[in-house]
Amino acid sequence: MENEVNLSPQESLQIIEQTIQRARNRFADISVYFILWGWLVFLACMLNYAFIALGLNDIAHSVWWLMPLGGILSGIIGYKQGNKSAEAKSYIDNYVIGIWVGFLIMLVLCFFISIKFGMETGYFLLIAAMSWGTFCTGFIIQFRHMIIAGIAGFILSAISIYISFPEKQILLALAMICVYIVPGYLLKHKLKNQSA
Amino acid sequence: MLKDLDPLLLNQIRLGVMSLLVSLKEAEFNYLREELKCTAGNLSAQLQKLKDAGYIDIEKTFKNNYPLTTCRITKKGLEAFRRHFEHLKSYKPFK
Repeated sequence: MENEVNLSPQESLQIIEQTIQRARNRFADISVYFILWGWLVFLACMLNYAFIALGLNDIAHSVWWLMPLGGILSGIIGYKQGNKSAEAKSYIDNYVIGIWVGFLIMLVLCFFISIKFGMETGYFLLIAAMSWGTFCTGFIIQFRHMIIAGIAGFILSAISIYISFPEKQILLALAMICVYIVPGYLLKHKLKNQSA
Repeated sequence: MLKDLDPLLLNQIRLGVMSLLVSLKEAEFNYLREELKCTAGNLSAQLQKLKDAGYIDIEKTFKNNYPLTTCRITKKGLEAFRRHFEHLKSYKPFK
């Protein structure tokens, strides 16, 4: 039977406040992408550095072929997430997608800049772009740890100017820990607690 | 001075639906039912009233061979919700 009891203004305001707050906190679990890409690039950096240190320069750059694997895994995860929990689409998800699409475009620019001006500039921009993505995502989902991680990334980006290759690889690996891996796990923990 | 409230939004479920939809791009029927903790029959009836008033759009499709109902707020709904909220605030200061 339909319940047509009218709400008082106070009850109405309470419902609106609580419901909007709940809906605002709803966004897709993006922690998995931070963790996946964090570890993947971290692994590639360390392998690359190790191969160069061992004098295996010819195969050192082949570690970057791990990146398409990350793309395939991200696609599979995104597809599964879409099928499993597409019960509500928030505007937050759209904004976050927009940020990371912008980041991908920046990656392409980084590639061209590296060719033109050398790897020095490329690494600086790469770490800065990654940090920008994390910083903006943190603001949008209102997750302070991610904002701090983004700021840490900007600092590492500035430091990268003063470090030479191949040590830049170590710095990039460190940036992956600060900018992707740590905030990724913290977000995963937060979302797990929220859903419990 | 107290202002007239939208009678359609004085119902708990209808107000809950509108409050969720103003914050979301779209929401599926099951999501609304779980969030608002109501029966499918009751929610269905309330959604139909909101749709009849032009406050929401309801799209019926299929997902994995199961019927899928997706709801979105309309411009008219958004305006009605905003107006209702403004009027509510004249009854009690909103914290």
